[in-house]
Amino acid sequence: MTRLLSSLLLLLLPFISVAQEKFWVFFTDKNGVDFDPYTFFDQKAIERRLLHGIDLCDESDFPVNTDYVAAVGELCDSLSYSSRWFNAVAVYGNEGQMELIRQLPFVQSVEAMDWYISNVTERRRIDLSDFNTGQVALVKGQVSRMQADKFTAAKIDGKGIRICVIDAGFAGFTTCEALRHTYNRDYVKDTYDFTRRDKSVYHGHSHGTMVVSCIAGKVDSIQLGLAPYAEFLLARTEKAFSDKLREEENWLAAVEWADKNGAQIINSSLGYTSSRYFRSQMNGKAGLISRAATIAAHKGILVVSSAGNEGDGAWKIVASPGDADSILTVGGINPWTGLHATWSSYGPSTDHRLKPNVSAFGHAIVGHGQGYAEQVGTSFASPLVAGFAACVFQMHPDWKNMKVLSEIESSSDLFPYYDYAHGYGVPQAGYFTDSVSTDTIPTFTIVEKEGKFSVQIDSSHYSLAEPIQGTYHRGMPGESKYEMESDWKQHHIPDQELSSSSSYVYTQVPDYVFYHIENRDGYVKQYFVISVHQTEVLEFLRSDFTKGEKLRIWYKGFMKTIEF
Amino acid sequence: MKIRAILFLAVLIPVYSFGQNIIIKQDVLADQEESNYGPNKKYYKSTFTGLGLLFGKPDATGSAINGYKSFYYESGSRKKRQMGSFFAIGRDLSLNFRSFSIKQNDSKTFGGIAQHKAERLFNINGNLLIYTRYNFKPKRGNQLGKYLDLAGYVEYAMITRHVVTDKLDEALGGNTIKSYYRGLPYLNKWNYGVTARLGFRHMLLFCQYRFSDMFNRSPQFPYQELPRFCAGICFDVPDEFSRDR
Repeated sequence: MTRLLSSLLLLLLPFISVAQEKFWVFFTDKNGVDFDPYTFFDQKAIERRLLHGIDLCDESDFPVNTDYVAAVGELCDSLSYSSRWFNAVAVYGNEGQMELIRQLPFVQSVEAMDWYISNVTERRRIDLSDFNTGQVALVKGQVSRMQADKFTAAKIDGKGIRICVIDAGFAGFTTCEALRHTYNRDYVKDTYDFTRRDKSVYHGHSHGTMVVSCIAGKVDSIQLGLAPYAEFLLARTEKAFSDKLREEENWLAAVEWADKNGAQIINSSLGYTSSRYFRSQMNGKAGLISRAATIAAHKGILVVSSAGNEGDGAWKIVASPGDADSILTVGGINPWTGLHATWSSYGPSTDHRLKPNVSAFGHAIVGHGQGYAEQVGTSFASPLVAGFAACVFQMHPDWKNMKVLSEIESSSDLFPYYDYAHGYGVPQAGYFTDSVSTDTIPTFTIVEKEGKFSVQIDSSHYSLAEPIQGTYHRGMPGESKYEMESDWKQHHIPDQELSSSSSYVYTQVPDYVFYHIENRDGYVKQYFVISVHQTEVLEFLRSDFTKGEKLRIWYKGFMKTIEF
Repeated sequence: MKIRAILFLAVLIPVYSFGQNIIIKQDVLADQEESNYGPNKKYYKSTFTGLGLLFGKPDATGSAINGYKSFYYESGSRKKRQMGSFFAIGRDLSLNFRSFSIKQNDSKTFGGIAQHKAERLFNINGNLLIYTRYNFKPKRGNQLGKYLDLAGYVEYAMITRHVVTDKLDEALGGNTIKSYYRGLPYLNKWNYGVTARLGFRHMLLFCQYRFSDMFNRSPQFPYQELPRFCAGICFDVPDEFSRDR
């Protein structure tokens, strides 16, 4: 019986530990705090502030009042990280202690934290020499989809641009063939592990290494990302495959650290969903890290965030901090359909802002400590765009972060059309390297007759939509391809039925018609992508629309708007 | 030949005259509708399955059980009605299986004083449990979080069996004989008790205490009461759709 009770007690231990929780304690002010920006900030951080015309420092940059922190420390079990931007300190304690802390005159509020478990899944590992035809097409496509060759021809490689990568660990970074040039040439400027509070980050998960390889990866003539000579700040904020995580706190600390150390771009390939929030809270204001991302943007940093992989799940929409205002949220494209990958999170934010802003390949070949791997997720689309942004910063060192963000949106291949699956589409380097003609060639006309609108593709631009081929893998020997379109009428192509063995990847937008309906409040209420099988491609009744609504139609780079 | 060509074309025409295929269609307003169903929403339901051990100090040595051989299994459906972020009420409807392994010793009374190779009393019950739930973390997104359930239950014994296993002497062949007794007149059909549960998301540790006596006070069957505690682990099987939304 004693043994039985002991076993039960052991089982109960995790619950007994519930008594000690973690909280954020927010202070009312920073009175009496001294601060010298010249000794605190890295030179690059000062340059970034000067460029953006923002004060070298404001109260949000001041450290937290140490007397306040000490007083709180007396009343709780232990102290953790202090946030300059939020004027807060993270503490361990219980609800009773927090009640005492709330009574302190300089405490504004106390909020409980939470945690969640993050798992990052990997697909099979491969060696460069083992690449099959499809994988070669994929590795080329992930950069050529953004016209990498145009940046290369213009000798734009992200040199001198400082990017902070916040991730779950950088195991294998030092031995990663694709990042050898980055490591050997000391392009890693600083590192910090916020989970262990030390500078060693080359451990934990290899997810961060794979993410960096999508920014700067390069082996021989093959580029995995667009900015092979960018500088890096590596911050480890997650413990993948581990128990309790305090990731929001670490993420916030990492962003402030990136600001201090002169980051121009932050890439974040993580997202918080139901572990802390409801879907209705994805408005850029509820999540602490979403607010922190917006503050980082106000301090001149371009924050690039993955949209999330919840598109085919119950959550479906972007995850925090991808919902944040003034940041570049990146969705995933399926390379073999050229369209939104079913698992990539949809927008908009719940306050109707466009999310994701742009897209990139959501399947990618990445580098890690033992070679290469084919990976899936917006985690890898985001760094592809971060590398692109580094090239834009290099070309235009006088541009502010928001200018870079809006120009990247404008460069994207659906712009000015957008929807909440693709954003403005995939950014195109040619927009920055070529002298772009602002004239677009009409590819269709709209004919109105007896209350009907008919969209007719000009015969010179008509091209029959290519049949999309899927590949069955379900326990069948070898592979068998079939035409997807004969099987579905109103569905996305299920990604699990496609893989790199389908060797053709789309290096431009497929020849489909995109259209959306915007309501009178200026929000898109419905959007569609349809394949083209005849020149008279769409027909609408005027009576189907209400006054003030807009219909936007896009085909092969040309967009037309009908206002009702 | 002409006719053949015309017929061939006639067959082809329907293939190429179909309308456009919609590849992506998204209704944004429908996407943004917030459901009132989910782990931390107004309504939630799940199925569950649990395993436990029966234990506790018997009323007398005559009803001692083999702890590690006496077990409990349950399976059923659970509903929750959220009353606020801190408090919820709900009910479980389940079938459970309790199996008491009776210790064979000199003071044994259950089933008579005769000792056997093994002796077991089991029953299958229909169980209704009403619970109140207290969450430790009101701010937990759309998650069940960490919680304490305090509950009361009532159950009806639908099937009861007393199983006795004996081994014959080698001289009689050495066979094992298993005897099943049904329609046990000394058992109360209805039982009730209380349950406390500590939950973390979809995993719960539970401890039950039975208030009612399993045996009726019959002079013909003066059996001493069996242990009243049951503790174990239970898993919710979440509805995938409601998990996050």
